[in-house]
Parts: sequence; structure tokens; C-alpha cells
Amino acid sequence: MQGNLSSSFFRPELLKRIAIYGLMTLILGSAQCSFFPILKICPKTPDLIMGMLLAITLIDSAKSAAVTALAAGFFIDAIGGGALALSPIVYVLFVLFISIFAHKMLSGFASYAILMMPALIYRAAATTVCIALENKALLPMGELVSVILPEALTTLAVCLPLYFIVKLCTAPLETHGKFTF
Amino acid sequence: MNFFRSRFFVVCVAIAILLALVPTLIAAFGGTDLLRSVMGTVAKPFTMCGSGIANAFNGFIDVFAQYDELEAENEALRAELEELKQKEYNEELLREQNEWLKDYINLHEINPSLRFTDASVISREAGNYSTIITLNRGSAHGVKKNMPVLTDDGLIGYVSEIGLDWCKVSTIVEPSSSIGVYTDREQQLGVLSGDADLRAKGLCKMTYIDGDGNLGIGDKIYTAGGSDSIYPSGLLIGSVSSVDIDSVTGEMVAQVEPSVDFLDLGSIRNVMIVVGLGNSGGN
Repeated sequence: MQGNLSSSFFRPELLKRIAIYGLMTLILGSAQCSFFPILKICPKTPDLIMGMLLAITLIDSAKSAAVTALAAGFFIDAIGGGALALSPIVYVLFVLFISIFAHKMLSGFASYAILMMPALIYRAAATTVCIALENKALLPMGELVSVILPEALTTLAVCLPLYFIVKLCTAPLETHGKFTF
Repeated sequence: MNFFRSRFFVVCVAIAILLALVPTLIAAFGGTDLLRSVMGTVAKPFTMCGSGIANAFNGFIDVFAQYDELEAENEALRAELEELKQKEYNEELLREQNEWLKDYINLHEINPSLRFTDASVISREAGNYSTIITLNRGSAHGVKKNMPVLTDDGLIGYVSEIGLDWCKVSTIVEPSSSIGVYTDREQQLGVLSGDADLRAKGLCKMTYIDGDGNLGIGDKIYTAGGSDSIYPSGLLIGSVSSVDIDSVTGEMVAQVEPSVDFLDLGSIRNVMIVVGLGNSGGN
């Protein structure tokens, strides 16, 4: 049993996934927390991790995306989070939410672009909940829109090219090419 | 919807809740999550790199974004600089004018019996062998030939040539100049005249020194005046710089350094012409 588990963990495919997704999480998470918040031309910080998880869901599998979501959520909270560390839950639920639509899609940029819409809606809902929990009150609609709308547009603009980067990075992996769970 | 009931889904959500709750609770109780601390340390080079790139990128964008603003600011600063330069120039002119008027008042206080008219030097002798200057006043301004010309430093010379609105002044170092003078210390009388050799050094000589010849270096020399002189009495000329005995005639000869620097004629810009003498006479 012990030998079985050990050989399963050290499968080359799994190790490659850990290395590639780990490095991507490190770079994109750092960019999300240190590069984009300072960048003057970006009105709001885009959710790169969300774009990456969506791409992994489509290119590889929801299973890989869910595990990456756990690590990325924890990492994001560790380097740029506040008192509330909700990111692991937000990202895992995002992968599960997007899986509902993703298993009906083919892998490819068109699917990715279409799935950005529900992804952005999910991001908007998550932001609203996070703001409400942080402020312990619901923000007025006008104020909320002034945060959510620029965030959604920035995320859309930055995450669309991200698909190709993820595709390039996952090239060495034996990906399933469609939704599997 | 099999995946919602799958064991993997339940495990993932359970771990996510754990990962969210544990750091939140640790933070709530004022503790430090070791795992988060390690993550932060690992990510530090990446975050520092990200911040550095963002700052560099911002600086690059600012060059274009603020170009118009910087150009406008540059224009405004240029205009301000021009204005300040103009102001400084005007102040310099006013300062010079003020100095001139002060000198004029001083001169008038020292010689209350004299009437002056101001004049500016408009040209200087082209050659290097004479010290004749041209002024912007002429017969139309009441200036006449042989009128003395001076500054607050001392005597310059006399009007040697006159035009309608200009006149030429021969300085006291010119060989044609000859003035009756006296010294302030011992009231020694003599004749001050120009000399072709001494003119090159900006000096003139004093001869026909009467009396016991008690003349010392540094003695001040003034015009003696008199009925046959074009110069009124008491105008400062300069001071004795050396005293010698002429080897041929055996008479005492003194070199006089004028108060006005004739070696630097360019520094003489404004002068006074004595147009009215209380005690005047012809040459």
C-alpha cells in the first residue's frame, strides 16, 4: 500500500504538473500581487489566477485545476491577502463552478473566451462577497459597479492572451484535451 | 453532476476550507502562520522583481503620458526665465543709472559753482595711438569748444572738436594737453602736460615745478584754474607716482597717474561736460 502510494506520487507526469503549475502559480501570483497593483495603466488588478485556472480546466483537467486552485489560493493569500484568507475557497469553488460549463465545451481559445463570461460573473460575485465581509456591510450599487466593472474589463483584457501562455507552458504535459473528472 | 458527489470534490472543498480557516483563525488570535511566512519568503524575489518591472514600466509610460504636461511646463519655465533675465537686465540698467546720478550729485556738491550736462561716449579713437573719445552732445546741446570734461573720478580732458550733436574730447594724457596745476600738500604749482611716451602707460608729466620742489609720491594734483585756463580751479586730476630730475635741464619732473584710467578707455561710458564756469577763461 505504502509502495503503491509512493510510486503514484512520483509519477513523472504528476511531478511535471507540480513543477509547471507551481512555477506558473508563483509567477502569475507574484505578478497579480506586485506588478499589476502598481501599474498605472491598469485601473484595477486583474485576476490572473482565475484566467490560469480556466485555461488549465480546458487544456488539462478540472482535477488539475482544482488542486492548483488550492495552492494558488493559499499562495495569493500568503503574499497579498488580508485578515480574511478566502482565496482557496473562492478558487476551488470557481473551478467547480466553471466545470459545469466546461464539460460541454471543447478545448480551444473560443471555448476559453466564451467561458470568460461566466468566469467574470463569478469573479464579480466573489468580489461583492469579499467586500461585504471585509466591510461587514453591503456597498451601494454605484460604488460596487465602480470596482467590479473595471476589474472585470481588466481581467478580460489581460486573461485572454494568458490562454496561449498556459497552452505553451502545458505543452510538455500529456493533457486530456477535454474536460475530465 | 457526478463530480459534486465525488470524493475528490469533497476533499478539495474540505482542504480549501481548512486552508482558509486556519490562517484566518491564527491571524485573529494574533499568531503567525508558519506556512504563509515561508510562502511569503519564497515569493519575495518574484514580488520584488514584479514591483521593479512595474515601476520601470510606469516610468516609461510617464514619458509619453506626461509629455504634453512636461512640454507646457517647460514652455512656462522658459517664459519665466526670459522674464527674469529681462528683469535682471532692467535692474542692472537702473542700478547703473542710479550710480551715475549719485556721481552727478556728488560732483555737483563738490563744485556747486559749475553747471554740468551729461554725455555718453559713443565712440573711441580707432587707432591705438591716441586717447580721443567722441560724445553724444554737440553745439545743439550748448556744448562749446574747450569745455572741460570730467567724471566723478577726475578730469578727463577738454572738448577739442565740436559738431551739431557730437563732440570730440582730447584727454589730459594727449601731448596737446597742458594744464596749470597745484598739489594739495605743499601747494606746489606746475604745469601738467601729456607726453607721447607716457601716454602709452596712461600717465602724464608735471614740469615747471616752482618753489622748493617739495613734491612727494602720492600728492594729489588739482587744476589751478586762472584767467587764462579753460579749466576751473580744484578739479582732481590724479596723484604723483614718481619724482625725477631731468638729466638735461636739471629741473624736477614728476610723473602723474590720473584718477581716470586712460589705459581702459572702454570703461568710460558716461561723462560730464562743464557747460557753465563760475570762474572760466579761454585757453
